[in-house]
Amino acid sequence: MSDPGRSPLRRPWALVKTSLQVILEGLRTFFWEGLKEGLIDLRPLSHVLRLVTIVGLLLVFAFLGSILFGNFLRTHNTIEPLVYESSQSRGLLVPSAAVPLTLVAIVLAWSYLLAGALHVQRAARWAILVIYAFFGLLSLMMGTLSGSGPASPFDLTVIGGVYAGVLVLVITAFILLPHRKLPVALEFILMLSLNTALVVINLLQNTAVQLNTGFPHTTNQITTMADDTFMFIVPSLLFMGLEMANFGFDVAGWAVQAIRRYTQEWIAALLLIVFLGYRLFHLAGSLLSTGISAGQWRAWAGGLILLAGLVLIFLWRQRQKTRGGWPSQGFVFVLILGLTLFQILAAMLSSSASTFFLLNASRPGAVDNLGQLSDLAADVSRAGDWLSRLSNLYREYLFLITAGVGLVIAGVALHRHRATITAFGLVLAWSQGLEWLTEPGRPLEALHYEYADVDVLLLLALTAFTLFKIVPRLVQRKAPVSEGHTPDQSGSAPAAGPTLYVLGLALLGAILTQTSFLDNPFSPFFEFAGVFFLVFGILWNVLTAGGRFANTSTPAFPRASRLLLYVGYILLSVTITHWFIVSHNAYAQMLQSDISAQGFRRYGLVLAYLAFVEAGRPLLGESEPTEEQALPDQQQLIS
Amino acid sequence: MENAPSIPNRKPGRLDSWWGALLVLMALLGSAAGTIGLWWRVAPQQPSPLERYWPTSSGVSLLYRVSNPDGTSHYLSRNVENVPGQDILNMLDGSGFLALMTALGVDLDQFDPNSAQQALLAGEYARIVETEYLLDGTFVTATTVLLVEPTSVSVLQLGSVAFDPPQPLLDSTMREGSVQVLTGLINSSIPYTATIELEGQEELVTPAGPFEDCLRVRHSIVVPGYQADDRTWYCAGIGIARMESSSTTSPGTKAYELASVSAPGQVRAFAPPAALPISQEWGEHAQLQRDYPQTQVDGLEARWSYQENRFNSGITTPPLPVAGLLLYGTQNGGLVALDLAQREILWRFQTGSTIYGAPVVADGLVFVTSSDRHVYALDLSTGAFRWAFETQDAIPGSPAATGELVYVGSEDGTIYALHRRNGEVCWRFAAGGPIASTPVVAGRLLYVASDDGALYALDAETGTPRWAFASDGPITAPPAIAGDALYVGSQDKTLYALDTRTRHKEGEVLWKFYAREEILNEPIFSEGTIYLALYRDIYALDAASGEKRWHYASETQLYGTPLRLGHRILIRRNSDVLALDARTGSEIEAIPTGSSSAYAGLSSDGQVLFVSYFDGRLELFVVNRGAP
Repeated sequence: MSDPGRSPLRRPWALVKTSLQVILEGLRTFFWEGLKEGLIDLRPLSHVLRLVTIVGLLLVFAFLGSILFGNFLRTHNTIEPLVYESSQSRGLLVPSAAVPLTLVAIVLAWSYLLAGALHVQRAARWAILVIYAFFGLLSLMMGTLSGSGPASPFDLTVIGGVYAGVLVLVITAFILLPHRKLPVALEFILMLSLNTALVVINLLQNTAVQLNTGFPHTTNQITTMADDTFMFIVPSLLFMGLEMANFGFDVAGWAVQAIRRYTQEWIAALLLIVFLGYRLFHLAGSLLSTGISAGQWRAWAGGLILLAGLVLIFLWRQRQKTRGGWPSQGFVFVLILGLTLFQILAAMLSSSASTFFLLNASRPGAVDNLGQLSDLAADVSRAGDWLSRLSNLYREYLFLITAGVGLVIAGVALHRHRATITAFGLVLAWSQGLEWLTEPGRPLEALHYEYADVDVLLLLALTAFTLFKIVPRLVQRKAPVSEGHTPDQSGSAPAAGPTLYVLGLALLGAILTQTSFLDNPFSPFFEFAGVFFLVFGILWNVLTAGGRFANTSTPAFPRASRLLLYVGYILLSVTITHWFIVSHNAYAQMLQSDISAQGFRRYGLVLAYLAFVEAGRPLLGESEPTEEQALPDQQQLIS
Repeated sequence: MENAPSIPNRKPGRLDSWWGALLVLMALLGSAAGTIGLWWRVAPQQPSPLERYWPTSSGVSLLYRVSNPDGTSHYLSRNVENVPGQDILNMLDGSGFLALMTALGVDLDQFDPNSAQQALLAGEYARIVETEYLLDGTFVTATTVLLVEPTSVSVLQLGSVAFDPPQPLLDSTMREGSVQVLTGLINSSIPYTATIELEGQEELVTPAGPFEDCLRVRHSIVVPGYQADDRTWYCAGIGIARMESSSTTSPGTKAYELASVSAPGQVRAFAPPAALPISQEWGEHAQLQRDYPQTQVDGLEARWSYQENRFNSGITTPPLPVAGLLLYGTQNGGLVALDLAQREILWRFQTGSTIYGAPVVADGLVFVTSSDRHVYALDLSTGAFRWAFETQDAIPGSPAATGELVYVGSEDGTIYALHRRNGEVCWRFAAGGPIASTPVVAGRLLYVASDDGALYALDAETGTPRWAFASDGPITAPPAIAGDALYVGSQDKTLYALDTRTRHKEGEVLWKFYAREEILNEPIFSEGTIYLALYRDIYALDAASGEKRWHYASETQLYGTPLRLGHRILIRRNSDVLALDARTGSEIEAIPTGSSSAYAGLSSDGQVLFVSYFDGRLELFVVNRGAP
């Protein structure tokens, strides 16, 4: 707005100053406040909970730093060969300092998880105990048994006795303690002591064997443990991939909400045109320099098929009167967990079969019955082979299975008049079904596309919409956009103009595709390409976990339990990830990055497409999830 | 569905306040301290003040210029190896064994095998192998076995001479000017008197450069009719950097000056002498396992197997047959040169850690990489150390040698081009991730793949990047090059055929083949066909188009890169080597190998197949006449 009292020469400066003020105020109000809201709030917590949370998060950040600068540990330490994990294609080594760090972190992580499980809803509590028995206790036991031999100080009876004793004590604690409100300090110390006892016997065994034989048992057994625990952290890796999309939602949401509050619609439209123009210019420049290959045309054709399906869902959605609740984080997490449950169970069975064999091989007199032992080994091998094939088959058809689950979700939600969730199910089914069809080796493999290809099409669609719908509308009617309006987080805010919706979607699309700088081998960031999704996902998850999970409390999941469970699970995930990264285990790293990328592709992009189907309203907080709007069984699913 | 258990309300107590936090903090610290404390028993330890001057860790290699009293000079190579208790008895003769038992305090009159074994296993030992080039073109080797005790290092056996008690070299309890005198028996019969005097601490200048922290020690040994006097400079992190030696049997003083060194954290190179021909054989404690009877069966036939009788000696590299020798690396860091005619070890060189890359031979020099971060250049004839170069991380792949340069990719993410003569860096290039794959040179370009998923084409002479291709997964297998095409498999499950004439910054794809499994092995090219082995499948693809020619699905897991032998494709499995018809992919035979094999290699004439095993065994198969 003009100020008649000021010199015309000072107007540009005043405009810049005002713009800066608006930007800073917007950043403060939305970005900073939003971020603060997402952080875990330690203030209302007891001293004990504060301490354990801080210790856990410090370890998480330390591991993240080491992941990003993993070579520091390797170049400043002795590196020890990982004999079991090395193969013909690659010899693996790990920095010696990572060994005690990993053991300490594993003990802590399981202690957090067990202490956190004590006061949660019963089914969840026992599920965590079963998971601990298979992935925590059993993997430590496998590590201890791997050192069995003439040089080992403990025989099977002692090792079995200690592990069985700890399991009995944990079960007893899980029966008794939920009904007795002991101080958190005592509960945590109890779990920590039990897990420390397991690691102590593990180390006593393996260090003694190492000292006697010279073989690096202590280091090598951790790889066995990391491999055994890997399946348990898969849901978290998928979730970390999803965080990239969440980041896009948050940032795009904060930006458009700031614009809605502090600027007028014509400024928003100008920003939109400039932004789309910039991206189109960049795209045209890139295409002119490299040309368009036949493969690129085919990829765009594949993207167009996806878009066609999304447009149909969009048109159906526009005809629905109800707004519906946005799929909550809990709902998505349960979906992820549900779809990986089969593979987790297969890993648990495989792990227990191996332990069963090791136990038999370690028992006295086993050498005298080598024939039986050999038969047992063959049986265990066959069972493991069968499980592995089944698991691979499941993985091969996971896109189709996910598409099927999407259809079921859509059906149930439609039956219960939840339009947004129905749309989510349809988008999930369509996008995953098409992913399966266009995968290499499938019928439509020639049309295989990436998000970057879809992004180009979305960019063109948004530009067309801006030119043919928004610009004429603004030319005809220069109405301000609810100036001074404060957005309502509950979702009852009046609808904002289409300019903001389109701007939000344009921003979201651009953020989700901003990984191209990682794909250039001559880029200084190329080094981080492999771990980018993972580290960014974990970091963003930790920064925003409070608002989503850990700052709330329900009778089924009290706040203290949420905190301990969250910190324990993240710490365990980061510890295992870190082990594979510092040992330069390219295969495991590839698997981890792949899983994170799958999380982004399979769930994050589905939510992004849903935002397009919902015409960008969720970015303005107009379709926030509420208890009532969520899927009817959502709470039950979370429980 | 039950909600959370009902918990009686409880007033916050002391344990909910700072007291509780303090208690938890103590428990956390206790748990961490207990874990770290137990691990510390096997943690790599800082060297003691004595070990600073005497690095006895495996892989320390030194090259000396020896100045003779008559003004001539020649070279001596020294390689240090840590020896576990399990192996020490293999390195001692009867007198050495008796001397060791006495040194360990084992009562031979009331010999208890268990306590003797425990004492043996608890001891620390080192072996030094010296190869001395003589002026007449021959060379001699000598082996010294050391007993490493907490405060001293002493010679247990020197060649066939055993010292009882061991002859002291250094003692950390000594101070400047102090003298120790020790008497004992050589080979249980000849009396000896050894004197050791710590003369002082000083800086030393050698051809390999100056060393600031050195101890000057005088040794003398007197036996009836003979006396030897040495003055030795032990430098921190190196060991012996200079020695002046004189004896009653050879007049004048012989001086040994350090020319090249490779020790943990320190590498200094010096132009080494020219390679010398093989003129002497050197055996070692190893045994021929089995000599198979010859038959008239056509096809591959097992002839003999061989196993080095040492602890942790599993073979970890493909065997390389060259000049009548078979070179292979082992888990315990040894590079073994097996004489194929004599079926015994000709020489053995110790590196500091496991060797995962096959050695490479060029112009009489062997280049071998090790997980101890070094690449070593050795004399092919003798295994004598010539120079070494240290990178920041382990080197899992093989080096590549061409012209005057040797190329090495390290896990530190850098490819180094080194001068073949002295190991000096010519250029280096930083990739975006660790390099585990072996670099390949073709024409003027060097191709190297990295865990960052990229394949880089660099100018082989300058290291200037020409183009790069980014796949979606780490590349650990080396590429194969045929004509203008380069074939590389990625862990993104795709085999790419790239145009080596690419002019753009981004590599141009000729075709790609989606394998549905991570590609970990190198593809091989033969007669217009690319053969690719996966976890259980082998594919034969048309090299020009990538079209599948045949596919073989195995019941059991396949290992390593396939080999082309005549019209056969050979690939290792759990307990056999599978032979397929290269034209059709049909199974010809499965040659039983007994247990899970590790690697396989072919002789240059394609008539001998070497199969190595994780237990250190090596098996030789010969193609009989009439084999396809």
